[in-house]
Amino acid sequence: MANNIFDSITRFINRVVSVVSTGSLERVRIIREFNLVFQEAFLQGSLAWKCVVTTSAGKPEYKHELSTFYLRSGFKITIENDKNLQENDYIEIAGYVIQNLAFVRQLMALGYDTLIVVGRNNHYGAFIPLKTIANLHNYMLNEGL
Amino acid sequence: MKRELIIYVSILALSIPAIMMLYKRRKAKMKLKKSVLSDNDINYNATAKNIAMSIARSKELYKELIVKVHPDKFLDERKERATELSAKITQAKKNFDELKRIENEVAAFLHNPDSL
Repeated sequence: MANNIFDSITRFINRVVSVVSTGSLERVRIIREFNLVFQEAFLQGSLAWKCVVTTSAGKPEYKHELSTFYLRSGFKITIENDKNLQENDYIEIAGYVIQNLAFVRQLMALGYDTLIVVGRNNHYGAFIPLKTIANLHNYMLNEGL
Repeated sequence: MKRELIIYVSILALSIPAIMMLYKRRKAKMKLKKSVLSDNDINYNATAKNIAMSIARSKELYKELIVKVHPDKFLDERKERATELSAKITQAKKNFDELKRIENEVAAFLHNPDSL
């Protein structure tokens, strides 16, 4: 119960900070869309896991040119019913997210630098540095940066 | 009074280049961000749906397709096309939408190989 309240407050603060700091609703929109789709897929029975997407702390060593402050640089997918999941399963799920390079670049442009896939109850998880999946060097060259 | 004024002026003079540098850096960052976002403009809903479906179904679909076009199953001129399709399927292993597109190609190949 206390955890839920804490999560809700954190989520709300993150949304306010996102809107104020970037001047757009893009980060809030992406999280909302993903949560809606994942929830729908779980309720319809097409997805066996209940996934919740939030903004979380990333890893400072995964920082790239467009990273935001590290406490808000993680794109986190939490699997609520993680009872039967093994460590490899988290890496596999992360693999489905990072196969779309355009999406990874979009995440990077929105300030995310770490993809986090974790379980709600067990301590396993995958932490993927987005800069190793898609880099922004070509854009930097084109922009003369 | 005069001394204080000198201190304030020198602090201001020293901080101006730092502020300018920060401003330039932020401007460059915004420019880069804008360029990446405009180049990779994607539909979040469709992407999220694809990811959810990929997690749920792509493994199954991959196995089904790769068995159908395994190059060893074809000994004639279709072998080359089968190899090509197998490579495509393997590449799209974790992308449900892409596998669905390839599924149509596989169906066309199996039913009418001359059309490809």
